[in-house]
Amino acid sequence: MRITPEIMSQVLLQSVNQTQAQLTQLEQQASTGQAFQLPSDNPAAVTQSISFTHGLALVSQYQQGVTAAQGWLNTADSALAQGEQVWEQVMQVANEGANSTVNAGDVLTLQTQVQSAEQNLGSIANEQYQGSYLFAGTANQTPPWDAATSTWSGNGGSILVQVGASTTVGVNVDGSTLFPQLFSDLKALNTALGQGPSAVQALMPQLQTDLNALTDARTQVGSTLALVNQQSSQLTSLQQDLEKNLANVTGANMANVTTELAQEETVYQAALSSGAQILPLSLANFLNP
Amino acid sequence: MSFLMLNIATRSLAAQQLAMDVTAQNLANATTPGYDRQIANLTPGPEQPMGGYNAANGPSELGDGVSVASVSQATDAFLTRSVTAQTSLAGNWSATSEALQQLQSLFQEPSSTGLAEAMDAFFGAWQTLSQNPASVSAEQAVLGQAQQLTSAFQNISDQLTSLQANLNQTVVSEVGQINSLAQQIADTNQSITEVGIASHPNDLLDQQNQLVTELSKLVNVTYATSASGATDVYIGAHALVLGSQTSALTTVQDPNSGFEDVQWADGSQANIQAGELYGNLSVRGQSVNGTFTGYIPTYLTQLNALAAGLANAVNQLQSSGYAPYGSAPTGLPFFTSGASGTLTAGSIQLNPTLAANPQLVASASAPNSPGDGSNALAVADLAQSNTITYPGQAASGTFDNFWSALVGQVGLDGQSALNRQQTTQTTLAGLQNQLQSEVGVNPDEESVNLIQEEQSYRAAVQVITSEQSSMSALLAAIA
Repeated sequence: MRITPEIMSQVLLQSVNQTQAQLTQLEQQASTGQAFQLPSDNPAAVTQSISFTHGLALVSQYQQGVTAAQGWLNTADSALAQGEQVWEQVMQVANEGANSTVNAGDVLTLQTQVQSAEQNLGSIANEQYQGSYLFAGTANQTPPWDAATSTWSGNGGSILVQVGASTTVGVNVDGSTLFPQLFSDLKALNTALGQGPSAVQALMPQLQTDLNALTDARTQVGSTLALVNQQSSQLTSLQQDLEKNLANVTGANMANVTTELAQEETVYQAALSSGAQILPLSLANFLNP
Repeated sequence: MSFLMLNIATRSLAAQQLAMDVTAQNLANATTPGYDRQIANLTPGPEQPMGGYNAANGPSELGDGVSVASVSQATDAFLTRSVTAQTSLAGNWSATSEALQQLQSLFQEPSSTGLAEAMDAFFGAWQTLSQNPASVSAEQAVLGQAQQLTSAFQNISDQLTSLQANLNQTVVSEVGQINSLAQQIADTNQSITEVGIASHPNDLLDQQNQLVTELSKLVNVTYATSASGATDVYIGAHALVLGSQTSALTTVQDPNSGFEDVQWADGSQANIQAGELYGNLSVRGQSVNGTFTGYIPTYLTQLNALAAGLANAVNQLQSSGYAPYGSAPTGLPFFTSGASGTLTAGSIQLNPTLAANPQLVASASAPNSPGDGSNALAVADLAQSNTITYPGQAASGTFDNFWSALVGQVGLDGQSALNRQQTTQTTLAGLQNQLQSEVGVNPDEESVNLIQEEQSYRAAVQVITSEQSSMSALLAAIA
């Protein structure tokens, strides 16, 4: 087969172009740390990276939910703890009032204590978390307990927060089944103190039931909080897995890249130097005129 | 003694001079594209009977020198045809791959400006709203992310349609180029027939080859050389050039798509199968049997289906849900299509009523429940719902699955076009090298020829000198 210089230079140019293209791609990988820059570089890896990124976005949303749920539940827990304290004081007052040695002056003192307990309980019932009223159900932009009219305007709706792909928790306590009973029992205690120790004694079982209700509510909050905390640690490990998978799919293997880069450089130099040596040769160089 | 020797030497001088001219021409055009090496065909002169002493066996014959019978070209019709066909294929995939590469970056993921991120952020904003439904800033965040999402959709759609418009312009200009090349071929045909093929109009034939190869890069052509030396060129079965006559290709606007269709001036369909023209048409989209198909139309259809599916799902929940202080379902769609009727990726926008009234975002499922975020939660959970349906698409699935299938398709198309471009280019280079091997000029070979011709010239001069001295000796003896 005849070889003409044009063939030789074409072959050299093609090889040099190919090597340069390889070098460019390796350089890009080395400088960005990414295995691919465009979907056409690696279509399968791009689709995988989309699904991992989506998973990470969802996990981050749920972690936000966990934080919000923890905030609600912790606030409810401390409010209910205060409520328990107030109620224990009320129980003490009732105990004293049921004692037959109480006199009129003591009754007045006890009634004052009951009234201040009612005020405390009122501010606990209207406890807020980030501008919303904790115990008001879904009507939580207005204070549920109106002390002047003794009405409860909250409802029994649930505040739902999503903390996992299929895990949603209710983070509020239903104030409408808890507090109205407490307030009416306090009023009854106030009246009973005026009536006499036996009336107060008759109220004691109800007051105990009320304390139990407060404790139960607090236990429920505690168990929801435990669920949320467990969910939080699951989310953290899920996030780590997804991040690792994403890095595997999108990250360039730097050791490979640097090795290949060195190899391609050698090939490139060899092509250029051999071309420089061979192409200028011609019979005309050796002919005598 | 006759002057035959002088005649022979003179003829030799003339022949070698012409041979050296041909060699010089070859050397000068060693790197000219499309130049086929020319060969001076030397033949011995016709024989003549000589008066001889062996009259019994009849007179001997002696030729009278050398002459250049013709200056012909080294050609290889088979390889030339192969190169032409391969050039069309290489042109096709080169144009396709170039166009597809342009839109790869639109679909790049992971990307902070990508559609997947915009969708995740949009549904994330609804999730945040569900935790604090009466918060104005959470409502504003939802609307803000909605704007980002609609811009992301519009951006991709706009880039795709503007690439289509570019390709449309390119198609029109390529049709113009084809017509102009056809005219040039026809003119060259005219010149060749005027000179006559028997006179070996080598440079005109080279020019012809070049024009046909340039044409084949743009569109698939077949050609045949007629007896008069003219080249007739066909696209499919319809003639483009017949002798010195051309038929023109024109572009006609398709009323449905708004893009230019390519057909013959006489109205018949053009059978375009390869070449850059075909590559550009296949990316932009062309009418095939009544349907407008192509790479970009397919991507646009899928993108529009995604936008419509997402909008429908969110609109339903927004419309049936309650605003935090609402007493009735809002009845408002979340996404609207602006001025145009159908909701596509290019026309999707946030309902202006909602944009002006953030408090109408439907976060609740019951009236007058500012703390109820369950409807917002339902919207946020659309992000993982795999029962979403997309208008015009058979498959249902999650938003990000649909999007990643589209991105995968775009990536795969781009990758396979790149691969085919490289393969066809490599094959073309191989064929071109083979052709070069047959018809190309090797300056070393020409230098050797030059040495031979120079020596023959010197030998002829030597013969003349010797004849001269013989004649002088003879005359000196007589005088």
